[in-house]
Amino acid sequence: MIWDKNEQLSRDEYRAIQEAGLRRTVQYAYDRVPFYRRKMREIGIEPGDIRHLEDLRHLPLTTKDDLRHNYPFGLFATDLEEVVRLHASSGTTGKPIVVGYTARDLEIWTDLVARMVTLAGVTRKDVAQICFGYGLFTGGFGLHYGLERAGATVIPSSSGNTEKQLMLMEDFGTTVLVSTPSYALYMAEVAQQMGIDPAKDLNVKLGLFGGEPWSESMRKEIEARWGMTATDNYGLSEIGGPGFAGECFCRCGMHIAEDHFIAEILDRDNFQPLGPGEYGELVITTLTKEALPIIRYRTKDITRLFTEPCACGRTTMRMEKVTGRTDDMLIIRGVNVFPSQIESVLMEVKGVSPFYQLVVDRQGYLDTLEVHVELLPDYFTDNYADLKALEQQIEKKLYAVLSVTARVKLLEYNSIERTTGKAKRVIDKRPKLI
Amino acid sequence: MIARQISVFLENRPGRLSDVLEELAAVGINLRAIAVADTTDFGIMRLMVDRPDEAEARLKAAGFTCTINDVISVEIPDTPGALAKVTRTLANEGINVNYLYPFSRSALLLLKTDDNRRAVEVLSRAGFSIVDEDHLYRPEEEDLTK
Ligand SMILES: [Zn+2]
Repeated sequence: MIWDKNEQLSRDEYRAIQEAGLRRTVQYAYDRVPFYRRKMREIGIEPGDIRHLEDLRHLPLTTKDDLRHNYPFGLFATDLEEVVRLHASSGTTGKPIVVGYTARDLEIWTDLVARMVTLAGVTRKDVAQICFGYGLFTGGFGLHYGLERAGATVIPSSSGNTEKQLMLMEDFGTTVLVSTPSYALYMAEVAQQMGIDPAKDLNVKLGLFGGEPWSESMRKEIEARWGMTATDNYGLSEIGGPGFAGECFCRCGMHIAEDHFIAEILDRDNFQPLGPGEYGELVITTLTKEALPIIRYRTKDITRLFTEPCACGRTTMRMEKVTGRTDDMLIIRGVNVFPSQIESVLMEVKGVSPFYQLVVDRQGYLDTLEVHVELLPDYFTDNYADLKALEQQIEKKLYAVLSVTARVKLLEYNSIERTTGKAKRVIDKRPKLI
Repeated sequence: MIARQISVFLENRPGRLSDVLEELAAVGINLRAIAVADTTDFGIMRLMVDRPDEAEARLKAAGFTCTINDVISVEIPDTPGALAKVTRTLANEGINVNYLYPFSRSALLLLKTDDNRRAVEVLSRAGFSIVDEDHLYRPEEEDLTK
C-alpha cells in the first residue's frame, strides 16, 4: 500500500514542489530567525537570490554547533506560544539540541511516519512494540503516533526491562519490533537465555530499525535470529526526528520524503554538491517546518542517493543505508577506518558475539587499534591454541578489509556493556591534539 | 583412568581468579588441583574438584565461560626421573602433551594429551597406575591404585 499520492510524482513535479518550498523556507527563515538573516547577510545573499535547486549551494551550511550555541530556542521561527511540543537530542555532553513543533509540524510529522511505516510493510493488522526510549528522544513519540495513524496496534513498552519486553511480545503477539539494531540483538540474546527462540516462538515478522548506523551483516544476523525482515529508517532530531526516509520491502535504499525535505550529498572535503550515486555527506533542508526551519543541515552521515524509480512503485529519491559518520570515522595511522567495516568482519566470524568495542590508543607516535570481542561460551574448548587461532583469524580478516593492523582481544562473554539505546563502540584514548 | 577437569576462560584482569574461587567456595566445593595458563590478555584456569558437574553448573550460572573435559590422572613413583619416564613413554608413541600439572597429593599427575585414550593404554602398558576419578577424592589413607 502507498500512503500518499506524493510518493509517486515525476522528477519535475518534485522539483517544482521543492523549489516552491525552498523559496518559502528561505524567506521565512530570513524574516523570522536572526541567525539565518545574519549568516545570509554576511555573504551578501538575499532570499530573492535563491530561486532554484541549483541555488541551494550558495546558502551557508548549518551545523550541530549552530544549534547548540542557540540553546534552547534561539533558532525557533515562532513564539513559544505556537509551539506545542519540545524534544531534545541525546547529546552525550553539555547542553542538548532542542527542537520544537507547532501543531501543524506535529500533524505533518505523524503523517510522514505513517507513510514511512506503511512503506516498510506495516498494516492495520500489525501489533507494533516500540522499544525506543520515550521522553525527549524523538524516536519513541515519533514512531508512536505514526504507527497509530497507520492503524497498527501500538505497545508503548519503551526501553529497558528486556525480560518483560519479551513476555509482552509473546503474550500480545507482537508482529513489528521498533528499536535500535543493537537492542534487537541483545533482546534475541536474552530471549535465548530465557529459553525462547525468537524465530520460532515469537510472531515478530518485521523490524523498523533506526537510531544508529548498522551494517548489512548485522541486518542478516538480526533477520536470522528473529526470523524477521529488518528494515532501516533514517531521521535526526534536528530535522524533526524519524519520517525523513525509510526502506520499502525492496530494501534498495530508503525513500526520502522529498515533498518535505531536500537532500543533498556534499563532497566531504570541499563541500561541493555531488551527483546521484556518489558518496558524501548528507545535508538536509526542511521545506515545511514552522517552529524550527532548518537550512542545509550537515548530518555528518555518509551515504549516496538514487533517483531511479523503485520496484515498489514509488518515485521518491532513495538514500543508501548509512555506512558511517564523518564523526565516527577513525583515522588510524593515516588510514580511514569506519566501525561498520569492523562490524561486518566480526559478524561473519563464528565463535564471537555481535557485541564489540574498538579501543584506539597511541604508543609513541603510532596509533594502535584493539578490537575487543566476546568469545561465545559454546565455542570455548580447553584448547589454548584454538583461542589463539580465532584471534589470528579475525586479525587477518580485519587486515584484509582495513589495510591496518588491528589487535584482537577475546573477552569473556557478557563483559561488554549491553545497551537499550545506542551502543558505545569506540573508545579513543589518544591524547587530543590542541 | 580419565578424569574430568573444568576449564574456565578468563580475561586477564584483577580479581577474576578470586571470582571463580569464591564462587566455588560458597558452595563448599573442594579444589584438589589447579593450573592457570596465562597469556597477555586471557588465560585458561583448569581445576580438579570433587563435584565437577555441580561446579560447572555453578560457574555457568555466575556467567563464566567454562567447559568440562577429560584429563588423565597418572600415579608416578616419587623418585627422580619418574616424570621423565611418563613423558618419554608418550613421546615414543608420538602422543603430544598439551599441558600437565600435579594433583595436590604427592606424586599424582594430571595430563592433557592430544590422544587421551591411547595415552592411557601406552602408560598402563609401561607400568604406570592410572587413577580413577572416583578414587581421586578418597581420603589419603586409601591406596589409590586399588
Ligand atoms: Zn521502494
